[in-house]
Amino acid sequence: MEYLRAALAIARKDLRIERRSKEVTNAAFSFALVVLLLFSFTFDPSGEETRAMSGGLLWLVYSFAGVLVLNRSFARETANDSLDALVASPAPGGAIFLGKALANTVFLLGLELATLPVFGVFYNVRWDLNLGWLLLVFVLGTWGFTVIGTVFSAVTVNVRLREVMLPVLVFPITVPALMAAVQLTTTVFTGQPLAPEMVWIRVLVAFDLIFTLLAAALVEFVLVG
Amino acid sequence: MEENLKWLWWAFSVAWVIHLAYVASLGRRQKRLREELEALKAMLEEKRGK
Amino acid sequence: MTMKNGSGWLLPSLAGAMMIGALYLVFLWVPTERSMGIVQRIFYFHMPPFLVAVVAILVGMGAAIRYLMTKDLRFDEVAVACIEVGLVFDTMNLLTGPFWARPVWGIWWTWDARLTSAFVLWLMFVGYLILRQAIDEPHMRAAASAVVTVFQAVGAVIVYMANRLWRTQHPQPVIAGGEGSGLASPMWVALLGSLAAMLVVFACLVQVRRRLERLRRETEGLRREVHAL
Repeated sequence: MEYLRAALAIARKDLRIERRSKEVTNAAFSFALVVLLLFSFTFDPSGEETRAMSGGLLWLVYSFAGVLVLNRSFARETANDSLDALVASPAPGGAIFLGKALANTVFLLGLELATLPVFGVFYNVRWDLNLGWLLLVFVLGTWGFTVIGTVFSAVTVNVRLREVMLPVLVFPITVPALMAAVQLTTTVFTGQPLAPEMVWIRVLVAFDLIFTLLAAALVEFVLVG
Repeated sequence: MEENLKWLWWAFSVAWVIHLAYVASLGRRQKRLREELEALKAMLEEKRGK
Repeated sequence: MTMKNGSGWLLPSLAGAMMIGALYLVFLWVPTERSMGIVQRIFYFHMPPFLVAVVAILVGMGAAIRYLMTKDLRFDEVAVACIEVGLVFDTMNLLTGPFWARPVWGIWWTWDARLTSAFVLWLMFVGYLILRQAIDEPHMRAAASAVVTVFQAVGAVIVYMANRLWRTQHPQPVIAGGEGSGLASPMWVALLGSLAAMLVVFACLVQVRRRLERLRRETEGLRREVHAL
């Protein structure tokens, strides 16, 4: 119980900091819009093929903007040695990780939900056809991405070239979650039946479970070591 | 037949080049580290002697 | 170069002998495959390196976990050696493949499950090594590397399985005849002979790389001492 309370306290702290400064959400959202712009030059945005690629496009936007958010996660603790203070506190490493992961998930989901309507307009995609399932995919996919990203944010916090290291380390590992999210999202956008794609939901759930447990177990070594 | 032999030859060469380049890189790094180690030991002797 | 110094001549000699044996098997002994011709022999030194790379990351993960449990930097030596040598073998897999694919299937590359996984593995190895270069303190470096390796090893397995799932849904041209395509028994002999030789070479290179890492740490330690004075 203490564990959960500590995690929630840390999550609330990060959320509060961000609510006041809005530094990350503004930057990440702007970047998402820029990426949407760039994509419009790479292919014909009105074609039918776009709908087939829609899930992939969207999650690429989310991935690129997402690393900005995740990078900041532990980086914001480097000022005033607050990371040392956090580690020295009675909160277990796993709770610190969980709290930050929760906060990051909230940030990323916010980013995703804000970007979605813009994406819908720019690329002529109906995203409201199956909102319940879409949100489930968003939550499962984002949590998986966030778990990996938060751990690696801790790993790279004191490392040179942190901003480049994070995506290089995170993306190869998140490939399965990304694949599943893309497949499911495209299915929802194109109005296809979800039944044959349910296996991807299982993939996401398995991915999330395995890496959440792994992260909670190993993050201690990164924070203290 | 001759045409396909070219591909086999290329693949074989690439495989060897990769390994030999790596072994060479190991050798080069070892030499550099040994030299630095000697230099550091000498520096340490000097500083201790003072 | 101390590849064959007094204490460690057995393994390199064994590696050399097995290499010669494997070369004989692959180029002289095994009969030429009927449909693809002489180019098919590439398979015998294209496939085993991938398996060696997989062994590399698994052993690396084992060493990483041992380091996290004991904080003994010797395990860190093993880990980095495995990953770096694993990278060499995975590179070999990725670069020899196209020379087989192009003449036989007409394409340089395809995103099938195995090739995609091989490339993801390659990127993981590279990411690990770049991370290590960016951390100076030995224990921090070892801890960070260890955590990364465990995530990557587990991730690699999941990536492979997910790719298999993806490709069953989106069939692509599959190089090397896909899973379970028949291999005549002489081919198995050549393949396994090649794999065995490569595993011994892998072990050899890991030993050399370990010694290099020990030397590196000694030098770094001395460097710190000298600068502290």
